[in-house]
Amino acid sequence: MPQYMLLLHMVPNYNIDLPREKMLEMTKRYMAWSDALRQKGRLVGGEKLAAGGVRHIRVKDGKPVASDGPYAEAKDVIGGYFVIEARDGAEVEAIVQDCPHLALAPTNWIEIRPVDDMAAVRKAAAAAS
Amino acid sequence: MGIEVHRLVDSLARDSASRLVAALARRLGTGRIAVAEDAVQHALLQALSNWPFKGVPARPEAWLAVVAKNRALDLLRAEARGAVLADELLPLAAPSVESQGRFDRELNDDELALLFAVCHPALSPEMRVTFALKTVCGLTVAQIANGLLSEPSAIAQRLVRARRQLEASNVAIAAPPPDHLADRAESVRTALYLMFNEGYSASSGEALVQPEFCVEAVRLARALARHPTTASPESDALAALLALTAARLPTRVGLDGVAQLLEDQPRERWDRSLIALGLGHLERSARGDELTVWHLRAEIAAIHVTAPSAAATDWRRIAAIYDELSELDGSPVVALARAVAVGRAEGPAAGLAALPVTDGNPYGEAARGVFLTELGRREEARHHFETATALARTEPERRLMERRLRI
Repeated sequence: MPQYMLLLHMVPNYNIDLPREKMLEMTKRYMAWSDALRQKGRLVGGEKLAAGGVRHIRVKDGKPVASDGPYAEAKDVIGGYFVIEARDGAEVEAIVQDCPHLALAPTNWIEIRPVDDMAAVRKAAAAAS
Repeated sequence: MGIEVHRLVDSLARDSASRLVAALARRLGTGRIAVAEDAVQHALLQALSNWPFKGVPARPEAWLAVVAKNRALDLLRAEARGAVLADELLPLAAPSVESQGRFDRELNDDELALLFAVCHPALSPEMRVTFALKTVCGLTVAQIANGLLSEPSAIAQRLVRARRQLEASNVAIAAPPPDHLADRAESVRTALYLMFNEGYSASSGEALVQPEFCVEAVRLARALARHPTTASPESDALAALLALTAARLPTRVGLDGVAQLLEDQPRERWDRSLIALGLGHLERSARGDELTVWHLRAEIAAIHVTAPSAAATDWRRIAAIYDELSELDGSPVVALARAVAVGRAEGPAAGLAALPVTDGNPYGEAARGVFLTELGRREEARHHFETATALARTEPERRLMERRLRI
């Protein structure tokens, strides 16, 4: 089945003062959502990404140079990601529409990136040769 | 799975969190209760934001304990005192038993020690209750403010003051030494009684009852009665009193949001299991030969919940117990309750004569109104019901008084 990466975009510190009851409620929905995928065998993996410690490495004058991440004034960062399996783009969109990340803050959004299916390419190449 | 997730998150946020705060606070000392709370809050946030991605670990409480302990060490290191404490903090074992029903959860030694620390006699009873609700019961400042009808900022300030006071008096978070246990246990019982009453009959607001406070008070009172260090006839009597009274919670307010009088409450909806629990504690409370205010109050509660109806209640016996109680507790509340019992046992004229001066007390005014109505003095009764309506402190009570005015 094709794999898709879901990038969870958010504005840092947008909802940092969420009341505890509301936060517990959101967590329940979040966990129920990911647990349902996990139980169906559709959740390949995922991680929450830490907010601090971001470094950028670029090559400048032929040398790699590290700099701090953009987080101080960033309008949009990736707070975490999931990799899931879905039959097609339509199904993955249906799954993502229920993701509580979207309900957590009006500034949150989710980017769907199909994972390049290299296994299928390899298989096709092997069959062709 | 959905329901399991709900239950898990609730139980972690409440039970596990309060257990962990107690365990950490005991190791850190009273001056560090805030550090323990911050560390556990941090661990909970970490857990709740990570678990949707990775799933719930096999032993969630142990996971929380490790994260909280590390955070506490970080916070202490920031104060440059952590190094010394680091080794002592290490054996922070998470309890393996998952909590079942909230009434049944055992109080572990750490929580008991914390309960005794925050119910220290140096603190006022109100402060003890606030502190216990926050630290031992794991309620949020918002929940406490809502229940005690205060501003969250005022509750937060009260907590800060309480912490400072405990810090200044250098109270150890430990079960008190045997020669102080009796005194200290009484101050814990007073706080639990107040906590229960605040839940059973809120002092103002939209809601008459705050079941959360009652549940916590019953749980702690039962744990107090069962823990080997604090088990005593008095603790059993308190547990009996609270459980038997809590059994009537489901009918305190009618479906229409109006407070219900004892005689109008559908008794089949009283909680049978709480009645059984309460009667068990009452039986055990009889093992000593001291008769305390808790014993007397528990016996009255038992007579109420075992009577088939309000009319078939042994009001003479209740009035006699109130006689004894008023010798130990001369408060106007007891005098008023005694007068009501006398009125039920011997008729409205006797009840009216027994009523104390009731300026400013809506229940006193209402009782006077009821006795006067029964004596046929309707105009006078009306006046007292009006006063009671004006004085009513909660919305359900105000509606009850209004209804009496319409009759």
